[in-house]
Amino acid sequence: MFKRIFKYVLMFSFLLALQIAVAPLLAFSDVHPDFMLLGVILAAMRHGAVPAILTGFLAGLVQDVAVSELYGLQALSKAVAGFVAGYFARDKVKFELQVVIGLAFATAFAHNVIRDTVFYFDVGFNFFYVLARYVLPNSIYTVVFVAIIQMLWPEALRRKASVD
Amino acid sequence: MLERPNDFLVSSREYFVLFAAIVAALAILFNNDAPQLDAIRGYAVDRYAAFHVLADWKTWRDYQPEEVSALRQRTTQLLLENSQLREAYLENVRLRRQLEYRERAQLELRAARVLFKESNSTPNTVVIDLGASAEVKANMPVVTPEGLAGKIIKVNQHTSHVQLLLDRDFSVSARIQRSRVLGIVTWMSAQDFEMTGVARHADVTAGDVVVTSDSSALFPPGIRIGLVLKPTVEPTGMFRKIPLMPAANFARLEEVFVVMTANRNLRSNIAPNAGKGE
Repeated sequence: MFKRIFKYVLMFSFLLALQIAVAPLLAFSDVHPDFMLLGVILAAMRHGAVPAILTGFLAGLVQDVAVSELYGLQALSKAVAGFVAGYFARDKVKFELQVVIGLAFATAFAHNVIRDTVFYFDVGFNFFYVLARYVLPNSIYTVVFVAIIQMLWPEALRRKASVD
Repeated sequence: MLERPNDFLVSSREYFVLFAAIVAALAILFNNDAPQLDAIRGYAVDRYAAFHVLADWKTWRDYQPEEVSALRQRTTQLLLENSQLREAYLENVRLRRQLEYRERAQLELRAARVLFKESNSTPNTVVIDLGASAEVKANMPVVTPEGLAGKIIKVNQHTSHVQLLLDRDFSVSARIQRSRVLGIVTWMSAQDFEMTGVARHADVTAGDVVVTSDSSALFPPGIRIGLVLKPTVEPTGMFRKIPLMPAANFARLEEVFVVMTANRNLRSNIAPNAGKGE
């Protein structure tokens, strides 16, 4: 149990470093991948919804403190993302690439709808503009990285037995 | 059918955990003081106000709201004009003596309903059903037929927040209408107001009418604020203690009027954030 927690702390520390140092380099016109979300999706696929919600909430809080302007926004969106990913990943042990992409897209979409709608609320953008300009591109960009992980390291996204 | 209540909790634990996480995250999120959250709060107040009006339909069922609103608006306009005419008369006498004349601003009013009082708010504010869509702007004065009620401090799309005269941070430049003595009206406690900064030998007596002064950056001159109760002088003080009874009845604040006309004498010449605290 503690060993697993320690592994997740290490993994999210690495992902946070990527988020701070690498994500801005990969960004184009305000669209960038969310590496912390990759960790939440991974937690959901390996351990189910409850660990994913808790992991998403805590990882989001850390991300809020480290990089966000609105404390609580990443925690909220990543907790919901953890639930969505865990919900779609339940009862599955092995994941095909198409399933992983669909699951990751649904998760990233739910995450980005919450985050970007709140973040751009004061600007007065139309909801559908936010959807087309930020939510969908950010979701697709994050899904690309999930697909890469699935292709290079399929074991990472496999359900651990007898957990959750 | 689940055999034990505990089974329900176990099978639904992901929903409970999600709910707890959302509540915790929202609690953290709404402790931020960011413009996004201000916009969300404003949006929520607008939606709540719309619901509030719908829920209160019985009050509006039996009469013609437009007609009543128009009559109230006209009454308030006449009362304010009356107050201003008296002010104008006294001013005219004074100005004639000095062979000067200055044009008085005509007030344009817009009727608004008080939707609710923000009970836990500081400053002391109420929400009215006029907002940016009705061209309401921050710092516009708000009056009742009896007199000054406050000013607009925040504007949403369909609602606005009015800082009442009852607020400790609200102060307004004022004059004794009869003797033209100048001072500052501020809230002291409960329904008690005071006119401060008036010298101990100034000509002030009980029953004197206090109106907004022409040196105010936000409020048109001549709007009634209240009546002097019983002025006293502290034995060692330099100033008079002048308690006031407010003209507006804040206990029954249901309909107010936003003064849409700018104070032509002063407002166009000041910076947008001037007059804070007045």
